[in-house]
Amino acid sequence: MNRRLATLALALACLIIPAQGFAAGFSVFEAGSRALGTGGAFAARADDPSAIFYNPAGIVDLENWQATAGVSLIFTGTSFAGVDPDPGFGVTEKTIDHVFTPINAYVTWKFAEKWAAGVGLMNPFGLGQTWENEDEFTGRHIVQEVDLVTFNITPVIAYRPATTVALSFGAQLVLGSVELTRAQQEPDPNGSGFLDVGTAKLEGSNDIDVGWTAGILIDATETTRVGISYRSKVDMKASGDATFVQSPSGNPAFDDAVAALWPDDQGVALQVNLPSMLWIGTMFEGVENWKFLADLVFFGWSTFKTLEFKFSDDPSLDVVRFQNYDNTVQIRLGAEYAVNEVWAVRGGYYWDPSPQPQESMSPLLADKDRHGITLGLGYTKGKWWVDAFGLALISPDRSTAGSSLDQYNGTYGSYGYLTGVNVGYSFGGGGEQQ
Amino acid sequence: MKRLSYVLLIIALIAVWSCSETDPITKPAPDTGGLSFARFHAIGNSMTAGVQSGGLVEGFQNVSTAAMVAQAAGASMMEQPIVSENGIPPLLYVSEYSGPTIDQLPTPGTPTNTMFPGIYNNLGIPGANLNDLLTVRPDPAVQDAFFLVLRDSAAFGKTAVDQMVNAQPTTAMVWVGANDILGSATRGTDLLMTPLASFEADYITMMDAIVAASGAVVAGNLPGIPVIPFFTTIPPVVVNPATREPVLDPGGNLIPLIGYNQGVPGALPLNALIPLTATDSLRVGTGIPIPIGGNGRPLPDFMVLDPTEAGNIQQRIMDFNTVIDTVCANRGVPVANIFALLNDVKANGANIHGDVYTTDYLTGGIFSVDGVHPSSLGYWLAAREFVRAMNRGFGAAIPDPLLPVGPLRDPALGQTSSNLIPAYSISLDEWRGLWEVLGIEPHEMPQ
Repeated sequence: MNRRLATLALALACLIIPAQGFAAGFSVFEAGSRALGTGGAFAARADDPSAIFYNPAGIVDLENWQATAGVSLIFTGTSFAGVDPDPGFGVTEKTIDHVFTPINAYVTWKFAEKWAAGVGLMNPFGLGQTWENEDEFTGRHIVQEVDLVTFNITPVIAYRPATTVALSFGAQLVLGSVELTRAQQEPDPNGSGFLDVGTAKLEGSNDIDVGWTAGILIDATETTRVGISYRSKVDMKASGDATFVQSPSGNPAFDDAVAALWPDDQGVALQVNLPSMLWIGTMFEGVENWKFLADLVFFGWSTFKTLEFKFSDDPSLDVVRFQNYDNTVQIRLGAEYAVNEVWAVRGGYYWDPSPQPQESMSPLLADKDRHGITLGLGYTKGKWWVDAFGLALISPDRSTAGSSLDQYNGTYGSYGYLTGVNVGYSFGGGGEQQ
Repeated sequence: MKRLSYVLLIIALIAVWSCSETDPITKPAPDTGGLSFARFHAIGNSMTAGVQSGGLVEGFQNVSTAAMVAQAAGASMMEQPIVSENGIPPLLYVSEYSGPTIDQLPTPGTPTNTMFPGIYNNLGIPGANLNDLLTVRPDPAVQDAFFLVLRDSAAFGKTAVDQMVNAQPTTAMVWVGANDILGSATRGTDLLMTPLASFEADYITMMDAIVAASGAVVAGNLPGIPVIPFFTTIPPVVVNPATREPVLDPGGNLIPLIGYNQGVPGALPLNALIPLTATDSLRVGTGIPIPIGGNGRPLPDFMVLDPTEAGNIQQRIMDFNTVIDTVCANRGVPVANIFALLNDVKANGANIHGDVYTTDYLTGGIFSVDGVHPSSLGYWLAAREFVRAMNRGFGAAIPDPLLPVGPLRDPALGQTSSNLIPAYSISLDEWRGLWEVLGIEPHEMPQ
């Protein structure tokens, strides 16, 4: 196999790993501001239209038409300190501070006594980052810039077969896009070191890929509710264009030789396996004005074993890159206190372990275990309601401990601060949402 | 309550933001397992000195094997016989990649560290064989590599080994013997190699002296010739310059080059080695049968290692390595297995800086332009092997040396062809079709 082109392709394959998410791996859990106020624990509560994401069985209790839409602001960045042999002690790098804005929007309609339907839109996986001084960034041969966005459209139907049980079933329609850039380096045959000879850029998107979702809510006792919900894995099959742009290395004779073999722009196809999610949650309302919530969220990250890249013109470029993610379980805890009919305050905590093995950490995605501390506010007035949250992520720095598959070793740190707001409205019937 | 929440959010924000950047990691003092690198000295030949592309020059000396071992181990000093651009001798240089054409830079460099008032830490002497290290004295009238490295025999010691002993190294590195083989092999013969018995006697003499004078010693063994692109780049068969595939006869067989096999001219066996020195002859048709455009004359004997010669040379290398292993084992000297290292790189490539590099000539990244000496990446692999040998032998945990990513020299040097001196134009493109910068399927030597 053509070694240089193969390694170029390999590096491109690295690029597809979505970068720094707000939750472990590249999950984005920010699909509803009410849920986030209580640490993301919401599967047994599921009492506003964002239940379509967290547990769609909950929408059966939402009267008439209801809708909510929201946006989160995510302030995040990654930093890196290198060690020998590559890139060397004393090297530090950081990403450009980014603000990301995942959105969510939901509509539900209770169209019969025991039936409701709804549809939601959210960005459950993705993110991106750009390394500062990307033309000099010491990991530029691995990645300079990466962006992954997924949109998930979830239509659901819910039914209450018994007074204490609600069920739901629905579909996931996933649309996504990805963009990746890296520098191509070659060692100067005359020995001056590695020369930058160009960049490889990949842009792709998928047609709709489909999964499913289901949920159940059970009123176990007068004061305790249990919610279980599931969102299936979705294998996102993207395709697009690989663009190779040569740049002067400082040695024109060498550049001519490189040019003669520089790959043509061509199509590329790849697959990203978005993991399944299983919620098991409880809510306890045995203390007046309080709600206590606890969820376990199981992520089926072990489906993210490889990234497979297939180029349209030159099959020798095709590559399989190993990721070997592990399944994870998040623990999400939260409480809400109703100050009065209008105001509610919320707080929560979650533990979000990383699915990424140490050797897969790279400038594309260097994941870490996270502690999340959340605060939230709820405001309800007539047919309107507003929920807001703030979330601080605390991640201990994580070292590659010399195991990097890219042989780019050091310690990664990151910060994350998130805030978001949802506005909801209950249409018709005069009833308030609840 | 609302105000309180905002206050808490702001506090959280500040707390997180304030720890948003990782601090640089300072190189920790390596765990040297009790070894001291207060006086680290290395002895050997061009591969210890850091020769690349046929010459010694500062940018490459800074990443010599000895210098990289010193860097990894945190040695307090690493004084070398530094030479300015364009090197001594002036470096070989790829001036045209489509041939490719190898030229030599003009204007030799000059030594710049001659006033250092002590024994150099790097006593690698380009061109020296083992016996030379024990016997050759620097001569101001000759101004050769021995004088460059050893300088003043009265002040520092008569020979390289004497200077090693006088330096009283806390840790010594010994990597010798390659020139006891290569001087013969590059001339296409097995007759000029150092005899095994004298090599063994000299190796024992040298090692006893150095071990007695040093706190600790690490040694390295010798690579085999099948990993060296100088011998493996040109296949012993005719290649169609247009298709870059071997030419086949009507029966579908490879067409051997013509050369001397044990003194008898004729079709060369498929396991003969053709040194790069044969390229100019091949270009004018020598070694190529007349029916397919050659002149039908055999390649001169010194441009061919026939299978017997190649086998004898490889056997001598393995015999030397056995001597090195035995002598070192008896003296508590760990050995860096460069022979196995380069065999592995030849078979599997070396994964460095996110890419896979090979022993292929010019395109592979592990060897320099002369085809015999390693590149910076190749020397880095060797230095890493020396470090690992010390770690094994002395219970140390010295980290891998810093990877020489560059820039090591000005990449624009030698780009103006008008100031180049033609060295040899290697018509690989015509006779083998090797050269593709982004890599092609390497021609393996037929077995």
